[in-house]
Amino acid sequence: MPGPAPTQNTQQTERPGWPLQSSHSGVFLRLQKTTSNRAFTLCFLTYSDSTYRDIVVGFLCARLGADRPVRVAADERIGTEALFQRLAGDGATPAQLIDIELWPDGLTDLLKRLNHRREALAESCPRPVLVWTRTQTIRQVATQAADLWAWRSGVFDFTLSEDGGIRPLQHADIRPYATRSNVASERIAELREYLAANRPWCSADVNLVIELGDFYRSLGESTKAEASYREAESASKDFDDPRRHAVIRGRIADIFQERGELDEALRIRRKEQLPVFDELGDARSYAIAQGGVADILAMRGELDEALRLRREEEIPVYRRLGDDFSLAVAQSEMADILRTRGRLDEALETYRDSLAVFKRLEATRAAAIAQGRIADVLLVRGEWDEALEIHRNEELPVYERLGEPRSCAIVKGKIATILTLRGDIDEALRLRREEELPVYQRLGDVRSQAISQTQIANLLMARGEQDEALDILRAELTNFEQLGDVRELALTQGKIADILMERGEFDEALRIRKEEELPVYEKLGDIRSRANAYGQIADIHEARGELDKALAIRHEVQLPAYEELGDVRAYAMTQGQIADVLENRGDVDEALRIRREEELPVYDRLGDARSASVALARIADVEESRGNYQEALAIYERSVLPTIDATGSTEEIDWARQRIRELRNSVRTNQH
Amino acid sequence: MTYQPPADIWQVNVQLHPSEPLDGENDPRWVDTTAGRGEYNLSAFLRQLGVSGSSLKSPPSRGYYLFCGHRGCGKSTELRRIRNQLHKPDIYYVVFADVAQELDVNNLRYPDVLLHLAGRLLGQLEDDGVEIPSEHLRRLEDWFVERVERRDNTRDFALEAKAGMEGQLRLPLVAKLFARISDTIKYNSTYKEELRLVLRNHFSDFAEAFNGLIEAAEDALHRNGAYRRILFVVDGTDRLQGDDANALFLSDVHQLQQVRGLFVYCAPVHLTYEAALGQNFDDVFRLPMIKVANLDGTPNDVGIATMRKILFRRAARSLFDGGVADLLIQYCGGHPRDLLRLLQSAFKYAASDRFDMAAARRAVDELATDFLRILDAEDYPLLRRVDDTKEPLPLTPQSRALLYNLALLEYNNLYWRSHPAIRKIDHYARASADPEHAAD
Repeated sequence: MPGPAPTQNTQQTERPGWPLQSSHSGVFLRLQKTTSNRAFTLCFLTYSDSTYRDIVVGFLCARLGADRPVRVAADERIGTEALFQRLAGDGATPAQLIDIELWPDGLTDLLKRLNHRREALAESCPRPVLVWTRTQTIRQVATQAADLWAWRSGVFDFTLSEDGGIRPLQHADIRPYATRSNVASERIAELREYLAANRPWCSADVNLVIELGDFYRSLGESTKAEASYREAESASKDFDDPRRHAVIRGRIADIFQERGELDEALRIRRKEQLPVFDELGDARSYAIAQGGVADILAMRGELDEALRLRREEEIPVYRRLGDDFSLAVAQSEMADILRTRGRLDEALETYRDSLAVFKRLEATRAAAIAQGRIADVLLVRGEWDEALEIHRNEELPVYERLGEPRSCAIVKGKIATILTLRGDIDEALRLRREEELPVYQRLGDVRSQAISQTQIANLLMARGEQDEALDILRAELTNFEQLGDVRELALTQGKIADILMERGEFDEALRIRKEEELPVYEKLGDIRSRANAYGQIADIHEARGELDKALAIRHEVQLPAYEELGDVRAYAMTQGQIADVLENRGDVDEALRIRREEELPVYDRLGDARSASVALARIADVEESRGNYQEALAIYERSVLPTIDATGSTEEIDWARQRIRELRNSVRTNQH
Repeated sequence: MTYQPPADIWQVNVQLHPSEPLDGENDPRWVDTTAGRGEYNLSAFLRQLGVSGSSLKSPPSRGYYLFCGHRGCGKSTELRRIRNQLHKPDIYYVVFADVAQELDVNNLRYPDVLLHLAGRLLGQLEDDGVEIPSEHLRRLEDWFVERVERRDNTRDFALEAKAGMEGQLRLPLVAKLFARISDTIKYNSTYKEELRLVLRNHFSDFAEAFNGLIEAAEDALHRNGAYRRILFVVDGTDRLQGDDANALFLSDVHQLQQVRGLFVYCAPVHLTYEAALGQNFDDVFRLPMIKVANLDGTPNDVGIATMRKILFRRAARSLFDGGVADLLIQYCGGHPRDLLRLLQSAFKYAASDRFDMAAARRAVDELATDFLRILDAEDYPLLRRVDDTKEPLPLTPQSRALLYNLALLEYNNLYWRSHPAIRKIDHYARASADPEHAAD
């Protein structure tokens, strides 16, 4: 067969759907090991994102046989005995306790109770107890429930890794002007010098201490920011100014919120800020504090109440005050909630409204953030061209002008992803190599570098530059090992094996699959990755002519796995691969039956015309080999070429046309 | 040498200037009108500001006050008097702005006022040699740089404003920048709207920077052992008309109040009847007319005596023919500026170098004619009704307009009377207080 025949979409062999972030694979393995004793074992599981936490909770239910989680509810007052009974359940598999921050009398109260009643807990629950806590709440647990803490068998961190995301929007009065880090550093030095030389501070100096904290926060130095706010709080006691005291407490609440200490942040906003601003009649500050409450509720997953606060308590005030910037910020935050709930159209409309306001106000950074959010929604909706246009022409130039290298790198990564989806591999590769990776290297962000490098390797493989891809992948193995990301490590090993196989180095490819890759997926219980890896082992056997071994793997490992996962497409593709083996063995009739009865109907049902055309081409080839030239020609002319014309590359189209010419010749020769 | 009013009618005219506010007790022409205004007493207002006698007891942490009254009733003079009385060590550091003089009062918005007040404070601090640590001025300067200098449409203005100021200390620099903004808002139509837009769009930033300046200035003043708080007194905002007044005192009031401090704004009398005004401001202080007549129409001796003092500080008593002064006082309705306007008109019509009765009558007729020009036919029955029934009118656009154009005058205890000059108009005489017969 001349030229490059079209290949099937090999989605199943690319990064498979795995619910955990890859970096948490090692954590999961340790947790699995720790809870295998089926006796009372106290584990703290930390998280930063409640949506992701719920995914992990579900995963642990499935993988460790854990019970459905026991959820603490803010509106249900129960005692510790009742809580322990719920945790006790019936079996010895792990129990999970979530939302402890919602305990009606506050987390401190719950921790105190658990600390005192820990023996009762152990006695009531002869099983592993997995307590989910916000990442930064763990410090509170350690200090406020020290005895309980001493009983822990481990802390398992499911915090989502910082991707160095673009800094969020802030309301005007808590946003220092100097957003560039060098300017902020310079201002910090000036403020520190002044404040050191002018003790004791006068009332106005306290404002500078707050400003110093704001600058620290703008640089992400929250510990120093908190120290400044605490100093301001202490100094402000000399001056009777309840408003300022509430403002400072709000800044401290911001820090708590960033650390995930939501209970305390919420208490400050509700008890120390809102009543003061209400008393003073300071509507704007009141609304900002209500927005802070909504932020916390959204982080805790209480989206309905968060939405209500934004709609009823916050937004009307900004509207009344004519504070358009704050209004647009609040509306954007509301749209984030809508997006989380999958209400993409509403979110998009709201982002666009906010964008119009930011543009009018010439708030360029805020406008760029809104543009990025719009593009993210468009990408999910499959509107790639518009998303690309926005990232390139609306968002990126702003971050470039503002001198925010990480934000630029993130946007360029998004652009590269869209280009890859569109098949523009060269430009995607250039972006990753020349504009994204160097930034992470300069920032010393090892994880982002490693991810970026593997994406570069993927692109090189797509271009056929295997040697370079191989070098990159081998170099990244060390990084993933150091990061403890066993799953990414195994996937990278798999990619190395792909290249070795293409080069004909079957033995080494097989060794990697069997010794480096498969054991990890098996330990993780990652059925899909395991089935895919076995499929690639079968490919090696097939290439070596060990057809029985290949067939056995396809039948005994792959098909049952995809059936279990309900992945009809992967199942159909495996059937196609079985048909390939049967053809090679000369069992053409069975191969044809499988293609016609098992494979093609699935692609038709899925509307996957490209995979269908590949299968049809294989059927036509069999018909040709049997001398049925007219039938083979009809398949190429009616089904294969039209599909390839619509979805294929120039080379593939040329190949299909060449095949049609050959078959026409065969038909003519045969007729004569 | 004690002050002597001009004894020459020509000098009276030269020195009259009816619209010129007096600098309180510092001006020899000033007369204490407190008793003549009835229940009015400035000390009630001063107590609101925490002032008792000549000391500051307990100033409010922030406050927004309106000083209301008819145009020409003496508000500006009273505000200057307040300034003089309060701008003292251990009391207030008063920053006084007369926006009618210093800004374009025919087109005034809250950004103009606040930018101007920031400039006035900075300029006054610089003039008084008050040292503010430059760190405390940085935020205001940053606001200018980020919001004005970095913006395409105002960059040229910013560069022009900063020209020649390189190397200056921060206080003079920022003071000059904001003074330049005020000038531009008054005179430059190109940048005026752009600067307003900048402030509107980034108001919260500016308000916080301004708040920081106020606090730092108060600390600096206090450190010097004087002036416990800053008080902004804003005159001229009573000149705002219709929508402009509503915008400043009603719809944009939240912006005004984002700047935390003590502010006294002068406001037109008709606004005092807006319910929202009382909710938006901490107190609305009314300066009533001088009562030349009582509620029942009988002459009020104290008020008349006060008006006589005002009149005879402007023109020597010897210049008036018999009955002329009383006639002018009767027809001015206790309105000080109208009294001076009548005097000016009387000079115009005087047959000799004295204020004679015929000239005085013509002056009154002229004032009545002015009202004839501005009043509508349906206004007269209403004015009659006020005078005859002695009951308050419902607040309608019509009654607001009559208060605004001085056809209705408000006296202490909140009763209204038509301007006496109107009562000379035939339409008034023919009008029935009964609206049923208004068209007769």
